[in-house]
Amino acid sequence: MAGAGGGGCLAGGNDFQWCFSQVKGAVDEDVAEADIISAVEFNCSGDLLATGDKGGRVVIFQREQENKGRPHSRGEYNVYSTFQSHEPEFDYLKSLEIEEKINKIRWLPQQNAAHFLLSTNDKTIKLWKISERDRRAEGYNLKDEDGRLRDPFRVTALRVPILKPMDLMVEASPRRIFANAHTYHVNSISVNSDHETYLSADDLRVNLWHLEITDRSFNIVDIKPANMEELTEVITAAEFHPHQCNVFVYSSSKGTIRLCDMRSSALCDRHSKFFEEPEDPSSRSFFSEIISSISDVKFSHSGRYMMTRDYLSVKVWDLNMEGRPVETHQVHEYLRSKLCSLYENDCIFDKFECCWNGSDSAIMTGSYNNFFRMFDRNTRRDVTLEASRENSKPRASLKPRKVCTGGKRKKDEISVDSLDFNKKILHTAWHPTENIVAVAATNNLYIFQDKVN
Amino acid sequence: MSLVEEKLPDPWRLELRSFSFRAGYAFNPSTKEAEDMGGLKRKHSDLEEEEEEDGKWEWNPAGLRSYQQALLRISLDKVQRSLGPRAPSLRRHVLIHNTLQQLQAAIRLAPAPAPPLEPLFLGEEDFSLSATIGSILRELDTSMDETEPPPNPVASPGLQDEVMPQADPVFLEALSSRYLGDSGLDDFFLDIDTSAVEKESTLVPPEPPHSLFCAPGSWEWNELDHIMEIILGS
Repeated sequence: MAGAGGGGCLAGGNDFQWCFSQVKGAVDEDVAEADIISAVEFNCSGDLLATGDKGGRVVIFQREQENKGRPHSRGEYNVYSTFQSHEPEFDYLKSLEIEEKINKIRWLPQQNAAHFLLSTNDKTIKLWKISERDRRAEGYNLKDEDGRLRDPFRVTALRVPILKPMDLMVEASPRRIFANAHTYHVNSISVNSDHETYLSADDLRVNLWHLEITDRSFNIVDIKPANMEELTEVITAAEFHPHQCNVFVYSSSKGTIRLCDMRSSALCDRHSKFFEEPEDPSSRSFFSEIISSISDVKFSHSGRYMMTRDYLSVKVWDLNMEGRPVETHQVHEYLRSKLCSLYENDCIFDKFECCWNGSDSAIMTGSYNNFFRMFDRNTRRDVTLEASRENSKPRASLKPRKVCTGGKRKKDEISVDSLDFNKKILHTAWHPTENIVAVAATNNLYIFQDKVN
Repeated sequence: MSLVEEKLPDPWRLELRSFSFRAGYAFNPSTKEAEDMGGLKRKHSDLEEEEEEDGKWEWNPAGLRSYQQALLRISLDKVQRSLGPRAPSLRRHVLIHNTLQQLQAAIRLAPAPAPPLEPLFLGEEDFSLSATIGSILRELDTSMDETEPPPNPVASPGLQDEVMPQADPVFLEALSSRYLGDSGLDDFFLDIDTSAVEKESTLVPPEPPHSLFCAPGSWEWNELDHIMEIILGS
């Protein structure tokens, strides 16, 4: 992590100074539903940034090489490739539409010149290969330059085709389609550290796939009861451990996390570890269960911790301690008194994601009114920032925002009742090694960088 | 844990306040009773004034009851609305279903207030509510999972022979169909004849029937009949 300008710096403990870098997407007030971003993910090096939207498209941005002539300009992200990943489908048997919305994108570790990613909608996971072509062959014997076949009798001499440079073309092609394995809605995919397998999770089941094999998957978790009337809990997220290829976790709508070891049995219905924080009886309400539902679970890069996001907070768990989290960060506690309204307008069902920075010293998650929150685990400081076009001057520092919870509203504070609940930041991503964050605000993608990078 | 308490813990108080602000109910601190403001929202300043008086007054069971019933209506409405061309979100359904069960349990536990503000959800109605709640997930199962045959509805063994089986599946189908979208579940409940129920308002509500099926000629049967009329008649 970069040190703060001036003064001594604590390892990983300095304050960030976030600045606006870029914003992608339409400026229009009218937001087309298909343009709403539903997934954001950096690749393993951070050079590529992928987004998925409700229209089933994937847009990949690539970071430009830093210009040595302008030492202060950091690499900008520009469009690298755009393709239609999923199309809307109709299940005739059940008379149901299948949405093309991209739920998750996960990059595979890069093994050669091409890039691979997995993208999924509610039902089908696809493996995409993104490759560059910057040369083409010229001087074929059997066809003209425009591709028309030549009459073989006219060929009087043979020549060897030569490769000539051409304008860079980035091609995306679907290499594998993993279909028909999920009855319920896929909410997570996670690539294993063995780089050969991955898991996909829906509301009731978790399946294990081999990246090369599309006609078979292994069901490793099944929580479907014999009688659906007995169903009280669903799977909300799942992830493989970053280093131990036999370990994965899945979270539930009741605020629990189960860690499973695939070596212990083929069907991991019995967990190895069970993480749950005891409920605080003084804060019990009709909405206690809904707000405890975990919307995202992410292992730290170190593999020692995991983070969960529920409606009002982010919790950090030590994998060796199942009884309670080691840290709890309040995202927007002022919403606790508004739960009834948020239940009525469905906001209480919003699923926020969360992410770690590269060194696991900071975590980030989104909120409403285009606010997002960052927590520094070392200094215990947190900040609320806003993604808005008003603060979008190049390299302009972001001003911390504050929500007024009651009493007199100070200048520059915003009251809870003035928050725009339609402007939600559900998807955020942090560059794997640098202090660059990508924030999806409805149909716009904001990129912020730390000033001292 | 009983959710009906004379002195509610703080989060409850905050929740009720936010609800009453929206729904147009006002709590009169002197009479300690709920007054319907006719659907008008109070001004923000009124709410702020109230917050300063926090700790001086207590929420009464009547207010809690109307709150619970409103939540019940909202929840049932959600289930109704979520049935669209796309497969419904199982997570959402399960969460609403669990909330409905909590509400049902709380309403059952609460003694009926005198006079009852909304005598809709007392003991006898438990049956239709249970059937509704039970049907939510059952219907989801049959619509989403092609491999599993639709499970048979649960019934206690003794009463099964007495009951005409046609009513139950149709009732379930009616709930999950789009027909009721027009009539609205509010009308569904408002038309119920509550005269039998009102007499017993000062007593503890009678035990709900143990089985999901109902005997012909009973109050529940009439209610089902009424629903059928709405569906077929409209």
